[in-house]
Amino acid sequence: MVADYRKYLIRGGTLVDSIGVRRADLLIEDGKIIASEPGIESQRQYQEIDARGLVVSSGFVDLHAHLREPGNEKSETIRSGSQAGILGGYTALVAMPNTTPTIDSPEVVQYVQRLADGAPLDIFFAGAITKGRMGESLTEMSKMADLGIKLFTDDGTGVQNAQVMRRALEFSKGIGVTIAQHCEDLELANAGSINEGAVSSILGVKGIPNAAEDVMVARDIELVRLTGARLHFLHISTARSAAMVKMSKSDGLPITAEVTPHHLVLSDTQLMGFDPVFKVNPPLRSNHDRLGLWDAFDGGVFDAVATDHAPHHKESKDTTLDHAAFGLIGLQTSFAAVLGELHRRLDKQNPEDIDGGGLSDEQLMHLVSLFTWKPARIARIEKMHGCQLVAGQPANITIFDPKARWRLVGTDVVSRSKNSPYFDTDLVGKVLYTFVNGELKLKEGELCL
Amino acid sequence: MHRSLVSISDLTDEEVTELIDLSKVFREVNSREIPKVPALRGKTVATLFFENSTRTRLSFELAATRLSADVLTFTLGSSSVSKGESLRDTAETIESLGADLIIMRHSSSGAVGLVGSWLDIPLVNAGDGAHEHPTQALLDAFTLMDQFETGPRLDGINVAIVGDVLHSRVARSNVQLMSRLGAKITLVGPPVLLPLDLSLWPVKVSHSLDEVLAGSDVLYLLRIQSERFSESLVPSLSEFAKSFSLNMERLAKAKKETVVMHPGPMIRGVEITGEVADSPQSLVRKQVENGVSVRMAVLYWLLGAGQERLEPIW
Repeated sequence: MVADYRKYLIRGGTLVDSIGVRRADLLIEDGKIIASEPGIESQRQYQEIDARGLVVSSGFVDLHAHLREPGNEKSETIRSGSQAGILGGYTALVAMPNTTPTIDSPEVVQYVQRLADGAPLDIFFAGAITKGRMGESLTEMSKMADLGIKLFTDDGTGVQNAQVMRRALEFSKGIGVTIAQHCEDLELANAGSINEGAVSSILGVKGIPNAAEDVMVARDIELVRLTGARLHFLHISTARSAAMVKMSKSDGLPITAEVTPHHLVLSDTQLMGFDPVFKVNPPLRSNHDRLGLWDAFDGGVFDAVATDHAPHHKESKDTTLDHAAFGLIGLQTSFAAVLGELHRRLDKQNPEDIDGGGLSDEQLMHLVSLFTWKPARIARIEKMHGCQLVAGQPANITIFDPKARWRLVGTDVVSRSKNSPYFDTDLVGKVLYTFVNGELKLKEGELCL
Repeated sequence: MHRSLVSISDLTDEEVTELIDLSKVFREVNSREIPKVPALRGKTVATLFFENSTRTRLSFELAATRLSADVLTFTLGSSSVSKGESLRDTAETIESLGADLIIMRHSSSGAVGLVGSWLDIPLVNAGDGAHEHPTQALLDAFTLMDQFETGPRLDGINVAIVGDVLHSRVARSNVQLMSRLGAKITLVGPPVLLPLDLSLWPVKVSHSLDEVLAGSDVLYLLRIQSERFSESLVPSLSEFAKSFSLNMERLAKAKKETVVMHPGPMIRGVEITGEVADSPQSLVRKQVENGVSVRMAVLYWLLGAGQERLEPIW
C-alpha cells in the first residue's frame, strides 16, 4: 500500500502560471496549495518532491478529447483515456459528445457523468449542439447547462446549416455557455481522405481542400459579428483560417481558437506511404500551412493547444486510406510533441547554438498558457483548473522536466488504441508528476492510481 | 527478400531497361507457333481483382499461362470487401493456399502496397484506385520505343495525355515512367478533371486539345471514368467530347507520324471516335498485344526463374 500522504512539499522548482515564471516551493495539503514561497521548511509529515531543474505548472487542461465511452469501449474508456491524460500532465479533460449515445440530452449527461465518477482526473463533458449531431434541431442546452455542461459542439462534423448555427449561437449567449465549432463544409470536403494538394495529387487520393475549413470559419466569424455570442474554433488547420481568426480578434469579436499538436508538428508529406495512422480530420495540411500555424502560434492567435485525442482500434485503421477512420491519439504526447517541435524551430533559427539556450521565460510562459489557464477559461472551469500557484488555490499541478528527450514506444501507450503518429518523432519535455485536486496521480513518470 | 511491383518508383532505370529487354524476348516467344515456355512451371500465380476488369486480368492470366504457371482466379465485387479485415483475410487466404505471386487490382489507392506489407510473396499492382498501374506504363513505353525506334529511351518524344487525369492511375504511372525515359509530357483536359496541385508532376498543362495537336508525337487518350464520379464533374459526356474528343478532323491537324494510344476500354464517341481508334495511326491493338509480353516479363522477373527455362516447350 502506498501511504496516503496528504501533505506534499514541492521543493526547488520553477513555477509557471499566469503570474509569470519564478522560483518558489509549494506546500500542498488537503487538495489545496497552502503556501507558495521560496525556502519552505521541511517537516517530517511532508512528502518532499525534488523539483530542481523541473518546471512546476498549473495542471494541463485539454479542450478536446474523444474518450469513446459510452459506445466504443474497444477503442478507449474514460479510465484508459484518463490515464493517458495523467501521463500527459492533464488534470482536466473536456470529453467530446460524439459517443453512442450522443451526449445530446440531460438524461445522457447524467448517465455519462455517473460513468466518469471516480475517474482519476476531472472530466467535463461537452454537449451536442444539435440532436444526434445531425445539424437540424437544437438540444436542450439550458437543461444540460444546469448539469454543468459549459461547452457545446457537434464535433466530428460542423453545423452545416448557417441558420441553425445562428440560432445555436443566440441560444448559447442567453445561458452563459460556449459553442465550439468543427469547421468543415461537407460538400467541399467531398468525402476526401487527406489534404487536397501536391500529395493527394501524386497519390491519387481524394483530397479535402483548405477551403472546406476556411469557408466555415469565415461564415461563423460573420455569425458571431451578427449575434455577439462567444464561439470557440476547434482544431484550426490552415494558415488562412488562422489569419481570419486573428482578424476577428482584432475586430474585438469574442472568438477563441485551438490548434492541435499534430497540425503544428506534422504535414501531409507523412501520407506519402499511405499510412492511415496519419489520416485525421481536419487533415494534416501542407508544410506551408503548418508554418502558417506556427506564425499564428507565435503571434498569440491561438488560445489553446488541444489534442483532438481520437483513439481508433486496430481494425478501423488497418485498411486502405479511404476506408480508414479519421483520428490519432495525443494525450500522452501533446506537450512533448509541441515542445520538441519548438526546440527544432529554435535550433533552426540559431544554428550555431543548437539546443544551447532552451526557451526564454516568455516562450515557456506562452507555451504553458496554451495548455493551462487559457483553455480553462474557454471551458469555463478556471476556478478549478489552470489556477495560479498561490495559497488557497486547488492543487491541480503538473511537474515536467523541460529538457528530457524521449521517444514513445508502443508498450508505453496506455490508451486502448495505439494510433499515435509520434513513434518516430523526437519528443522533448517529460511529465513526471501530476497532482489532481491535491492527490498525486503520477510520480516520477509512473501512474499511481 | 521478395520484390513487388506496386509503383513505377519501385524500379531503377536499369531495371526498366531489363524489363524492356525481357519483354522483347517474350514477344519472340509469343510469335512462335506454340507460344509457351516452361519458365514458371510449378509456380502458382493468383489474380485478385476487387474491381471489375476483363482485359487486364485476361492479359495477366494469358501471360502466366504462357509461362506455364498455374493460375488461380479470384474476382470479387468491391462492395463485399470494403472492410479492411476482409481484405486482409482474403489476401492471407490466397497466400496460405500456396500462391507464389498475387496480381491485384483494387478500387482504393494504396491498397496493393498495403496488402504487400501483410504478405511474404510478391505482388503485382494491376491498378490501385487512381494511384498506379505500372504494367500499363511499361507496355506503353515498350510500344513507343518500338514505334519511334528510340532504343531503350523516349528522348524528345512529345506526349499529350488527354482527358480524365484526375481519376487515372494510367496517367500517374505513365507520367513517371515516360518522363524518366526522356519524353516531354503535356496533360490536357478541363481543370475539373486535372488534379488541383500539379507542382510535383514533371508536366506541362493545357486546357485545349486543339492547341497541342500539332506539337504532339503521341496523343494518349484516357477513358472518362464516369463510374468514379460521385459528383458531376462535367455537365455531360457530350459537353466533354465537344472539346476533348479525338475525332478525324482533329487528328488531321496533327502530324502524319503522330500516333494515338488508349489504355482501354475505349468509350467510342466520347474521348475517341471509332474512326480514330481504327485508323492506321492508332496503336491501340499493339498496346494490347505488347501487354502480354510485358506482363510475362514482369512475372518472370519477379519470380526469379532461371534463364535456361526460356527454351521452347516442345
